[in-house]
Amino acid sequence: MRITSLAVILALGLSAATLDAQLRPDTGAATPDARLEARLPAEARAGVRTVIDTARARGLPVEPLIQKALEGASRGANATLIVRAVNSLADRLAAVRGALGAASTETELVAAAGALTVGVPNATLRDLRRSQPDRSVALPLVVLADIVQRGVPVDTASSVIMSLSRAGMPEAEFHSLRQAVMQDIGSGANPATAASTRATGILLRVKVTAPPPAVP
Amino acid sequence: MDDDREWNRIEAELRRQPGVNRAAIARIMTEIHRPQRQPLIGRLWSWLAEPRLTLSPLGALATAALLVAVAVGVTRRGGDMSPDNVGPSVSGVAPVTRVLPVSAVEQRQAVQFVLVADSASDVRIVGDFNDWDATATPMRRSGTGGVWSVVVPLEPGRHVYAFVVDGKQWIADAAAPRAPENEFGTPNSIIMVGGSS
Repeated sequence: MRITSLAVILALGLSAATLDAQLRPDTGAATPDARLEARLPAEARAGVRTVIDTARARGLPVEPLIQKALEGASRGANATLIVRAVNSLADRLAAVRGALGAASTETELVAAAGALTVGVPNATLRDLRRSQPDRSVALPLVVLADIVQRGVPVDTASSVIMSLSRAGMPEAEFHSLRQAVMQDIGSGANPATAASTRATGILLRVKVTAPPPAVP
Repeated sequence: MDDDREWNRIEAELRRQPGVNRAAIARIMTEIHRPQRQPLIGRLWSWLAEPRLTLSPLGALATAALLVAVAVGVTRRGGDMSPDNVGPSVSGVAPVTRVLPVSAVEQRQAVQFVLVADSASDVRIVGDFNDWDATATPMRRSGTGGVWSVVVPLEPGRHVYAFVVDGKQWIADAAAPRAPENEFGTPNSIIMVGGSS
């Protein structure tokens, strides 16, 4: 086989692959219609489509909205409930984007929308973003929302998460905090006390074990 | 006359040349024709570039189409979330959801989901990774106990999921963070994969 033949095959193969990729539905835009058309109750389709189109026009991520609709369909929810859930999520995504900033990732926005659901105020989201502008705030928000659902008051939970965030704790420490608080609550501890005590413990431990500053 | 003299001179000159050493010539020719030991890369390139068959432009086109068809088929099959395609079967595992070592497939990581449900006859996992399709990802019972598990490759990020027991009961993962939204009656769980990108 000559080099030219090889080049022709490679060029044609690349062109065809590119064409295939272009024709393949984009999960963020085109595919939703097919998935939703196939799975949603007929009465819910128009409402969900409207919410999604509006969200897309506002620059919001639409895949979480599609997933919310698909979850409702899978659970056998009625059309009204599905449209309401999708619409509510779209509103929360818009609200938290204002707090976290337009450059936030989809993961961050969805996590923040969840935190908003359990009562975490927008001010906390803004503070959290300021405390770690160059790192994702998704995991801290997931832990924050989780410990609130386990009974830790929102103010306490927010304060605890903010203290770890300001201290530049790695993500593993947020996981540790959540597990420890869950364990304490399971043992009968007061949720607020558990969260505060465990966060203090993590801060002290990391401070003690941190390497000394480098000598110039 | 002059020509004869010239020829005689040439003949005499030639006769003064040393005799031909045919053995030496044979050795030289043997060395010339002996295959040279090329470096590995050179040998590989020679093997790759050596023409073996001829192909018309139509043949090249057909070959390219075949290659693309195979590549597309493999890519699309990669999205299948059935347990047969997500990893080896697991058994004897602790009842916790955990992220396994990084998969070689793109950036996805193999995550093992486990549920203890002694009386269940069928357990599925649903989530945003399988479009909440309750038929897509069945879990396997390990041995005769009530431990059900499945390994699913997940993209980095936040994923929401739940277990569906016997086709009707939706259960959150007790070991995982709870998803705050609960519009449809029972809570879901969250797993963060590969850092919170």
